[in-house]
Amino acid sequence: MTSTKLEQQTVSSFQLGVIFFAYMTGSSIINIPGPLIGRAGNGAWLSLLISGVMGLCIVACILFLNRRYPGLSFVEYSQRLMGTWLTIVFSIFTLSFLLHMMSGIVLDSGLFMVSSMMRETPLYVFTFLIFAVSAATAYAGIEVIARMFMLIVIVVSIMIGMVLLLALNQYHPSFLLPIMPDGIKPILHGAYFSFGFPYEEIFLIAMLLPFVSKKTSHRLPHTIIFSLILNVLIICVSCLCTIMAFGPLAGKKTYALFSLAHIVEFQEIIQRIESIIGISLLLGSFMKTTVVLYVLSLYLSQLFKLTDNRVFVTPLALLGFMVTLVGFDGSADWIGIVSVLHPVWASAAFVVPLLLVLTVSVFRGKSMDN
Amino acid sequence: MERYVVVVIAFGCVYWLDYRHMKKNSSKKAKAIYLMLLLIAFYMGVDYVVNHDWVDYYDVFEAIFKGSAGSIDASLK
Repeated sequence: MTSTKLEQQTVSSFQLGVIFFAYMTGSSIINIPGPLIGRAGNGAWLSLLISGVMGLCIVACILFLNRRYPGLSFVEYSQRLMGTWLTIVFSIFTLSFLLHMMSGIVLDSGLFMVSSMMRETPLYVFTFLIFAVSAATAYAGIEVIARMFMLIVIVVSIMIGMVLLLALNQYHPSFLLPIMPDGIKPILHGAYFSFGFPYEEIFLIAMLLPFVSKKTSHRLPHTIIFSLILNVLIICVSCLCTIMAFGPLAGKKTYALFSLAHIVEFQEIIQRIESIIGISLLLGSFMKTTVVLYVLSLYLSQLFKLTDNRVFVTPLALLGFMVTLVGFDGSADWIGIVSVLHPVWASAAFVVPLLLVLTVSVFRGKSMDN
Repeated sequence: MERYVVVVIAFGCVYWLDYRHMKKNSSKKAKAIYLMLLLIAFYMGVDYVVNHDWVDYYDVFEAIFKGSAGSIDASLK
């Protein structure tokens, strides 16, 4: 494991863009299309565009604060602007939500494996292994994360691109119409759902921006915005492909890309390739869990003004594992938490503190700059 | 028995990985936070072993957010 200290670690803006893309796209590309189409129907792509624009607003706030307080993370400038105690009070929801996010990602991939691929294996086998590997990676630091994720992002993108291309003969473009048979309400419902997961989670990048090297920091806004637009486009394409393949039944598929891979039949040679979507989901979940675990340990250490975040990586991973063991009371209960509770909890955890810090910064920022 | 083994292995791994590092390198504040995290995990571990469905993480936050989240979701349906 690395011996490089936290404050010495740097990544380029391109590497941070890759981490951001991996974190945003990792598990959402497989988990989002089915439930989103279930809410918004054929207008799922419109919902994604709406929530994507709202996500861009969050990015703009974060980039504004980063420009005003270069080299500081969200916790650090929040402490300077609002004071340590107020930051701790507002961080209760943030820390709790980060823990929920981390457990949720791992639980989702474990449930996917248990329900779709390895039905006889206990859930804790998957959750424990994902947490163990993520903890080891987060412990190694952001430089190792950046180097590793580059390769994994390429592999996952090729796998998903391959499935979408091989299913070409199953697509029926006529299924895409009508776009809004029930008016605007389902689209807004879909936008509300997809804003909660994954676009409100953009907030985490505010903790990682100080790691970008000064040499490449001028390219940071373009890289982050490009990564986000690419993420919106890729999830939109996945939704469109799922609708074209399954039509009205698309919303009933929990893991839409997995179902799409299941029906791939190309020249009678390539068929039943759903296992590569299983691999992609595991890789995507691993990447997202690692980033959340890293940010969670960083957030906690900066909140209490400690220098080494690695101390908290393993107990936080253990805590996340325990949440997956006792927090899961059945699939129906879990779907309720993810689809109904998640967006409001995310707003209280990320959007409210961000807007508060932004407001305080606008009113008294200039004096702090000096 | 199976649940007991799972929890013991999970805590054992953390002890094995962190014991030396914590003993040598950490401040009192870091140790206090570390211990608090372990205590919360221990509570959940006991809850899992005895399987009595004690108050858990989601019960707390469901109580806070369920009302507003439910009404927003219902209004959009």
